[in-house]
Amino acid sequence: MIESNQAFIIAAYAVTWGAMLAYLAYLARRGGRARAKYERMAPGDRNTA
Amino acid sequence: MPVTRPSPYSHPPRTSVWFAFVSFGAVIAAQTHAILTSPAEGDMGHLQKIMYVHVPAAWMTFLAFFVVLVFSARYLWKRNEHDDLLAASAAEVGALFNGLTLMLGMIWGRPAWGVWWVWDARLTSTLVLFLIFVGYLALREFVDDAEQRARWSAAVGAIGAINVPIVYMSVTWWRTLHQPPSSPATLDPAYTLGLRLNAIALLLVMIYFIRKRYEIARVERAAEHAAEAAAMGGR
Repeated sequence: MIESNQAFIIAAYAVTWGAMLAYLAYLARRGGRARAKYERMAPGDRNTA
Repeated sequence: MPVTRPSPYSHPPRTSVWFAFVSFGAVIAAQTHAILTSPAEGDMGHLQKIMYVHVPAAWMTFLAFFVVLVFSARYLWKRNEHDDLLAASAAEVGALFNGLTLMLGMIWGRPAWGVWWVWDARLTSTLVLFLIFVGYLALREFVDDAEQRARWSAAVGAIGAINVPIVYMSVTWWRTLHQPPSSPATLDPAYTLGLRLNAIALLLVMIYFIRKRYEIARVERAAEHAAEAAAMGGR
């Protein structure tokens, strides 16, 4: 019982970190795409660099 | 009412990478402290440690949707595009924490209650809240006209956020399997510091996520404005 409870505790913390890191990666990817698109639309504007 | 379009090329706020390090570092420190120092609880034993991620995630959900409510209402009043983008950023982050709250609740519920899911008032209202904001995000993807998108999503965001007090009070208003709300006031003192530290750490992460998402949303809108300007000039 104790061992199986430990698995649930580990799963909870793993899911929390998985969600946070996945969202962080999503933000990095989406940010890169947005800046690249803006650079194409308004070349030379460094405000988004 | 005309929509105020702040200069799309005005400097978008840059979210420091140090903010990310500090907020994620704070989560590591708070979780380590809570795991190492909190004693086993009488009924649940060490399963209680799931509280340090589940409860702060639920609080961040409520807080993010409160931000959606404030900035959606402000958009409907002032028609400033920045308010729409900030509300949408908070809605996305709120949906992330809402989904996380549901997942963590299921992981906690299985060993504590013997079931992954039960259609009680707290779980069902939290799921409804999640679905409303998934709908909100889908709506933003499907509406092309920026002003219409902002107006519709402000209405959905404001109405959706009204569900938050229903979720919070559901354990009081209805008989549920879910326990009453956990807060430092209702907890054994042995667990309050850990809960407070984890809530503050996750709050920093939430602020970082919303700021970063808002920054990206502004760049995306600036690109849309630039594309519109190019199309007008190209006629």
